[in-house]
Amino acid sequence: MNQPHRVLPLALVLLLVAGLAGSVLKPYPIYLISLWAVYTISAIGLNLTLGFAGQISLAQASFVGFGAYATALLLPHGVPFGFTLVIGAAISFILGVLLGFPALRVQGHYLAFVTLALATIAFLVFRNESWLTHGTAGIDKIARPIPFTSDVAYMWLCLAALAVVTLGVWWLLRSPWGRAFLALRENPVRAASLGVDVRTYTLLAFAIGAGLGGVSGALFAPLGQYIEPSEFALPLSFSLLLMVVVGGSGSFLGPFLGAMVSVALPEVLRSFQDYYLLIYGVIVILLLVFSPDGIVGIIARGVARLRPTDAPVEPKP
Amino acid sequence: MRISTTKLAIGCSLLAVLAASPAAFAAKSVLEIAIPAELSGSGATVGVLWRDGVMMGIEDANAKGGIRGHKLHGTAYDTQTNPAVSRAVIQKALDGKPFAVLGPVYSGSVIVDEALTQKAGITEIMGGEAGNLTSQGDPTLFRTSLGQAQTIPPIISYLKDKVHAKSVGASYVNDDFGKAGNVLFLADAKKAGLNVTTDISSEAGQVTFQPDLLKMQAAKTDAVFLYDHEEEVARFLKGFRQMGMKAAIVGGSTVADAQAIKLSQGAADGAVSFAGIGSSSPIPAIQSFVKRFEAKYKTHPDHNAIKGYMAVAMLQAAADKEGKADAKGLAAALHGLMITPDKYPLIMTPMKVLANGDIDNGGYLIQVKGGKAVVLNYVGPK
Amino acid sequence: MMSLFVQVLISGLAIGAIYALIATGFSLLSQGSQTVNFAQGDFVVVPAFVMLAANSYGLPIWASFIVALVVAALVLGVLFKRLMVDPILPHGAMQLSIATMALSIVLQNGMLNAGGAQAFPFPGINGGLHFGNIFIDWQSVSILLAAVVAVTALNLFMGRTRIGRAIQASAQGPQVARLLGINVARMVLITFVLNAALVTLAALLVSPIYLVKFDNGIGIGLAAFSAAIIGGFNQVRGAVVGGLLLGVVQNFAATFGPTQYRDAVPMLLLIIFILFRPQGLLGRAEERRV
Repeated sequence: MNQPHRVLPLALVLLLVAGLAGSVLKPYPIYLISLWAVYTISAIGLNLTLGFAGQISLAQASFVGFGAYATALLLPHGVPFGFTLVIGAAISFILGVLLGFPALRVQGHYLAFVTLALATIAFLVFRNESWLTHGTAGIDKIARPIPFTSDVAYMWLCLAALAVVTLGVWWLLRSPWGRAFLALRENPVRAASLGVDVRTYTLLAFAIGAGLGGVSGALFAPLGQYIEPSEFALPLSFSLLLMVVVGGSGSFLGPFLGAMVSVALPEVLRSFQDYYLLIYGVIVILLLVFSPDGIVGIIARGVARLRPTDAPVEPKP
Repeated sequence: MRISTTKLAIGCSLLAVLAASPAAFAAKSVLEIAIPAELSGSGATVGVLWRDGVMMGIEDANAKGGIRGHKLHGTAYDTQTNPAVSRAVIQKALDGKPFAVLGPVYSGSVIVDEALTQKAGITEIMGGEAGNLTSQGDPTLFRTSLGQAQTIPPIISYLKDKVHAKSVGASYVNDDFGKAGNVLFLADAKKAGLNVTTDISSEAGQVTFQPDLLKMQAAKTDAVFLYDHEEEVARFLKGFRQMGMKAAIVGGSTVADAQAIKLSQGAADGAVSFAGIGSSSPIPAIQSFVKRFEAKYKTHPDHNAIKGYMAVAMLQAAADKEGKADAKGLAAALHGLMITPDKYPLIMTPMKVLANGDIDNGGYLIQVKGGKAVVLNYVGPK
Repeated sequence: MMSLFVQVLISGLAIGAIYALIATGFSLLSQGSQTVNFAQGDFVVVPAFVMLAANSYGLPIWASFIVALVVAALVLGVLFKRLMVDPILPHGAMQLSIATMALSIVLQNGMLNAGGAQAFPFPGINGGLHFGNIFIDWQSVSILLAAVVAVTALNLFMGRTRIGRAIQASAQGPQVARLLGINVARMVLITFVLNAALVTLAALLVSPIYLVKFDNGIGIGLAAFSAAIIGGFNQVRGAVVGGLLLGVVQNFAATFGPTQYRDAVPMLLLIIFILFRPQGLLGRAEERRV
């Protein structure tokens, strides 16, 4: 389940099914599918940081914010959407390198703290520098790139972006770099003894994860067509972290499933009314107690049970 | 048994008529009211009360026959105080073809929802007070209370004419509500010739107000303009009195709100605010609403609960003006409407709906005296 | 100017003392379970609600405090360890840290549903002393006194009693401690109960100025996390100094800096600080685990 080459077709089929389903559905499910694609991109990025490099980043929401603000502010000046997306991703990637480098000089929880500081400062800049960001009033009426103006067309754009990101990460994990990432995930000490430069790869995982946060933000802004600073504060970082872990941190499909749970949550737990967030929290805790590798872990064990003659499917190959 | 052709003909034509106008035949359909509100997250303080107010309004309206014979059914949606979630839930609500949307309260969520309800031609009556909300020209968006552009000028006149303040220190919460109020205040104060020497931004839920208070004390202004949420108002004022500061306290509606008075444990005494209709307004209908609400929900209703309750009356009046319960013509019927409590008890006090979606149902210049809000001056709807 | 400086310092120390208590508990927990407790702030709000509830049934505040101590020791100490930490920790410290984020959601929404969305007043000590231009309120004085007593008692307990030394030995090297015949599991449980006691005390001290509200834990939890990092993360004494330093820096930043960035200035200072002293305030350079 964690081997990228095995599950890549599964991920792409998932995208296609989501798109086809969305095309015949009402605007609400279309929006949810688009939001799922956007969150998944961000969660895939965070999964590199958390699942592969084992670092807790509290700033993924800020990276999404950089992408969103870059797009929302540059689009009205005639900069094409493709460029704003690249600019947003680049800002996030570069900040990831600049922050991660000193923070990773030391082990422990300093990266978590440095990302907390970035999250705090980024939010305050988004909110306070209203000459640039429109402050608490937010940016309204963000245009969608032509020809993706309708809800369905924009959903396909989000899904296409997710497909590209999926293929990119798949390629990355198959490359020599990716082998180092996988070694890092399994056992940092062994990876180091095999000659993997742990600090460099941790930094790289963090920075690529940040860059994907920027990509996700670039898609996020025209989706809702409105952004405001509080959307990119700590709660989004927390919920992205939960998505990664609920899906299965360090697994290729995990972010897809984790984001799906998060987006579909209010629907699934609707009958619990005011208690649905409480129930969600309890479910996440139970999941971590009984299946630390998330939903992917549950599915992997289910598949293993269905095919007892097959080679055993280890949760962590 | 043989059925005569005449009877058959009559029966058939009757059936045809009924089929052509199902409304005349079936029990009148239920009108769906969508209630997007801040039920979790930092906005829950206002969102939960808004929803409960709307729900109570729906119940009371249904007890009196609903709207033009149609019963109302309310469905609440949690925006989690997050515009992205708000966009999702309003989409879901609109997919269900609601009669009207009542909510939400926070500016970001309102702006996101307003774009979609306008496109769908569905009336949205919301709880937001930020000045910029109704300046967008959305013909289907309505307030339920005075906006900041209506409540801030009277308090500036008070500062100038009654307090004779030369210098003012401002303290505001730096979120959509507080910042929008602060921007308006600074602009209007400048026009009125008031000298705002200190402008202190605070965070919602900050742990201590000591730095703010010390800064304010060092500024030595004649008056302090406080624009913050109820609990932060109370915390600020407690420290303010303890430190023995003497400047006149004025501020937004929260300054003389019952919750702020209660939490401040006496420190709010002397504070003056200009506020729209709230739980301390000396209107018998409002006071009886407060009692019934407290009995039902075991908590004190603030102005958000009252606003939600009155929103239902706005729907009643608009549908009557329209002559039918049709979602499409509702917004047009609301513009310029005067709603009075003799015909619509749920409105509780006369309300005039203005052309841009603002409303005017009067406001009070209030001073806190002995732990009670005392009216200094009433300004009725123009 | 001098009087302003003194008052900013004293109120910064008072708020810092509360951070210190919470950060100390935070460090104890991380010694016992190598984890970052992202629900630590909510751990402060829970006993505050318990005290309010007990108080509303007519118990005086000191008795409510004892009730809250017992409830916190059971729920935030024993149950938290048995139901969450013990089963999840074997899967990894990172998993446990994320689980505490979910716990934070559970606690906040639980308190929202059970207690309501409003803020509640909490009994405290009113009034204060005027020295010329300087005003010091009794609440700040009592916070500082209570924190000094608590931290001193904790240090004596850790340094002078057998259990305290056993806890320290278990935290520094569980294997060695086991060889010495120490019941490591029990020692870890005691650190959890100590954390519960510290957050209950913090709740008693902070609630009169902060009120009691379901989402109050967000701000104080992050402050405690920051204070623990400044103090070197795993060190109880470091957490105390880190908490006091953070409180003072925050207060000076908010008073003399741009108020719109009041939360950013301490963060920036602390990052720079960490870059020069990555091992924390009192810590010795930690050997890299890799």
